[in-house]
Amino acid sequence: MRKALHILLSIIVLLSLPGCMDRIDLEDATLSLMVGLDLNEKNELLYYVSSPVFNREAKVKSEEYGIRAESLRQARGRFDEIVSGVTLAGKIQVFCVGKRLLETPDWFRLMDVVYRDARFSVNARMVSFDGPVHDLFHSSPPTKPRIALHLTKLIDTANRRNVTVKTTMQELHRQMYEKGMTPSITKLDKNKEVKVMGTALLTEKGAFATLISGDETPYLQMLLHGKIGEISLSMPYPDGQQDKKIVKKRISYFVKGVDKKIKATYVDGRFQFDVDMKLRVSISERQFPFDMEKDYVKMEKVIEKEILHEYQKLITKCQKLKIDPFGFGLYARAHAYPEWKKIENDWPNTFAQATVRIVPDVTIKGNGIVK
Amino acid sequence: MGPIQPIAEQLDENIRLLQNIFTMTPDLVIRTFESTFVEGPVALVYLSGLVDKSSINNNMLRPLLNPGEHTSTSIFDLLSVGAVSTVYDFGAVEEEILQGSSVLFVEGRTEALVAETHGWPQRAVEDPQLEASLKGAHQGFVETDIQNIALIRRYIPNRELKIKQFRIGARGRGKISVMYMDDIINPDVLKELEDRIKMIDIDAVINTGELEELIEDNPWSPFPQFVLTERPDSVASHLLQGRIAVIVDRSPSVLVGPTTFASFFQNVDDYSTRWPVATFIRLLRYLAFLVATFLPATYIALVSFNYEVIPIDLILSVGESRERVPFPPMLEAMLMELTLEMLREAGVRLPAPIGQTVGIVGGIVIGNAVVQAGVVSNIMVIVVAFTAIASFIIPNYDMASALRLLRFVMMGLAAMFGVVGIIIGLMTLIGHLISLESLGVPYGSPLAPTRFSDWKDLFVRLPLWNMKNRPLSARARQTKRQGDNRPQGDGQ
Repeated sequence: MRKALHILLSIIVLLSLPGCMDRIDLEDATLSLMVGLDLNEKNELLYYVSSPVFNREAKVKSEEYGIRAESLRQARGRFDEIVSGVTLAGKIQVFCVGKRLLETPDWFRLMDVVYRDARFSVNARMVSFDGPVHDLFHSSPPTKPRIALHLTKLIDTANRRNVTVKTTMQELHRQMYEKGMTPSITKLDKNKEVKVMGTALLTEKGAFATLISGDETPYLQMLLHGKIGEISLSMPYPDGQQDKKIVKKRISYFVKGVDKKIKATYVDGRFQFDVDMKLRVSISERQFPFDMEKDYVKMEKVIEKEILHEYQKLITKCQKLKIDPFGFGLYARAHAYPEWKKIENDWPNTFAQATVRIVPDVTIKGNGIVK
Repeated sequence: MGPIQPIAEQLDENIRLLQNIFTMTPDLVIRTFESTFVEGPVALVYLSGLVDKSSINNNMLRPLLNPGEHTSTSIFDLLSVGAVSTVYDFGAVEEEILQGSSVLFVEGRTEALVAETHGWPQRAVEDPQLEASLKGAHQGFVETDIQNIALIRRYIPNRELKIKQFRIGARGRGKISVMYMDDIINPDVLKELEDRIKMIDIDAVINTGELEELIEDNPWSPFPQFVLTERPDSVASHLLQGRIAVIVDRSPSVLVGPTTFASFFQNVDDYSTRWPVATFIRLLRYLAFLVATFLPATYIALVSFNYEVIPIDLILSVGESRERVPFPPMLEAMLMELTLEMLREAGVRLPAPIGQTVGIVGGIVIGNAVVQAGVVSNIMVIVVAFTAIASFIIPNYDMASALRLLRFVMMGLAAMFGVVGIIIGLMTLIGHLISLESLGVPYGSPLAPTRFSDWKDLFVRLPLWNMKNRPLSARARQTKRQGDNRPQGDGQ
């Protein structure tokens, strides 16, 4: 009797599980791998989706659709009217926002469902696309895999070389709501081929502010994360007489390690950041003769100067645009909280007034394997 | 059995009584003859198939018929058989004859002489079938308990090795020998086992597996609660750890208890291979346990509920291969797993030459045709193959069978509730394993209850000199196993 009761109880408990409700077999699903948002000329919202087709009879293994809708959820319903499976958002790899939409304020509100629905993949890479998103979705070069997979790989590997940032939807959410910094996302462009352009820096509200190139992104990355992936920098060697030779005097180096120390103080009514950067570098390319053994200190100074110059350029640009993709605000909050508390809702404007002093300290640790 | 029937003085009367007891028994031999040694006729009675003919001829008939210049007055001295005893009633006579002894009746005496002349059909000692070993001995148990005891005693020639014998079964009175090391064994555990054996009331215990079912702690569990082994070396090692072995006459496997879950993942070879290798293989076995139990269920759960966790490149190939399959994942998995089980069963039961054919046909069907026909996806075939391999790695057959059964339960749970179902299954499984007992000793030991000192021989097999004590799970009374055997090098 007691045993029967136990079994009955277990069955009741088991049946109350919600498991079987959301069951969808993989082959009944249309997995959206890439989702795009854009505005057309009439300022109507366009939604794009790209998903793989699992069918032997289908000639093309990937389907792309674009429709007009007013929200992501509504768009899902529209897609379900077209695609054969149930549209699912659990495997989105790339989330693309068109340039026109990115320039409108409050576009981020469209993303609400992404964070509200737990089944939405928040690991998708955020991308800003220069041009009509339609072009991106319907470009399928024969030498490349499905466009969604191609872009995924493209962004990931570009990020490994620090040519661009890799901001997931989750990370974007943080950057958007973090008062002490402004967001930055990957920027793509397409002429003949889809190409990584660098990093798009967004304003506090998420609107497009400026673009920094792939050459500049490493500097941003070093300030943001220290050293992740391979950082390879290249610069012309300044010796006053850069002639018109074909082989220019250039020097390239790896950054093997970065130790940064950021100190925030509040001096004379403005924030001041002292960034102490210790870089261990290794020369990877030198297209001119130079006596490294004797003059390596000179070389270190040259590199330091170049790094400082780059940072000054970058930071001045950001301050002019009132954006802080570096997250200096986080240090302000940490080191000068009372002052931060007063201006926390207006950080970008405050940052525009702040002083940033970068002190790079370069040590050459390696020269490559040739003498 | 009726009232005790004493042996009569007259030989004729005794023979008549015998013929009453053994009617329709053509293999009963009653040899009546005159012996010069005693006055009056004597009768030698035995069952012809169960005795050793040459022993009867040389040791019984010859001295009785031709005593030579023997001067002894006792007929006892005449019989050149090892064990001779005297019985006084027909109940005992019947029993002895049925067990293969020969009984000698003498005119004018109310007792009969019983001589042990066993000699039933016997198999030679062979390599164990189920538990083949690379480096261990190649002697497996046979169907005669005396032989089996001898095989074990060869490993432990020690007077502390005790044997208690019971006779069980109303019709097939089988001999059951409980074997243990007297100074190591925990008396409570031994008593528990004896009580359970004594309580059995059954026609006959044919096999050790039957005995196991009659005395195990939880008959509803899929898990074996005793180790059934056919290796004398493994029994000897268990005995020395403080466990009890039960030898059932007429059955070539020996029951060992109390056991733990972990002991089903150990193997005699573990202790004769180098310890890092043994550790690696043992870890593989635990991995195989997980794979054999959960892999198909995980496949089902991932493909029909939580495709999000499958990496993007894999999901595309799974999708492509699932596309042609007309069945839902659960049915697909069921189909393949059942086919596999059928193949396995067919391969075991069929004679070896046909068994091979089954394997080849099955391999082709599963490996190729089913996929090409679009009935089952490629990934499913991989899953099935992995599970099959994994379940063959488990060294103990009973444990492997238990896992096979659990696999289907898990698949059902996964099909209904996805990953949540698998987790529920896993938790129930763990709960069951730690509540299970073998002879009152916790089955989950040394994991739960946690006995860290026993972990030296759990997931890793540390060097032998490291295991100075007997495992706690055996509940041994005397725990020291060895002294300091740590090799020092340089002959020091």
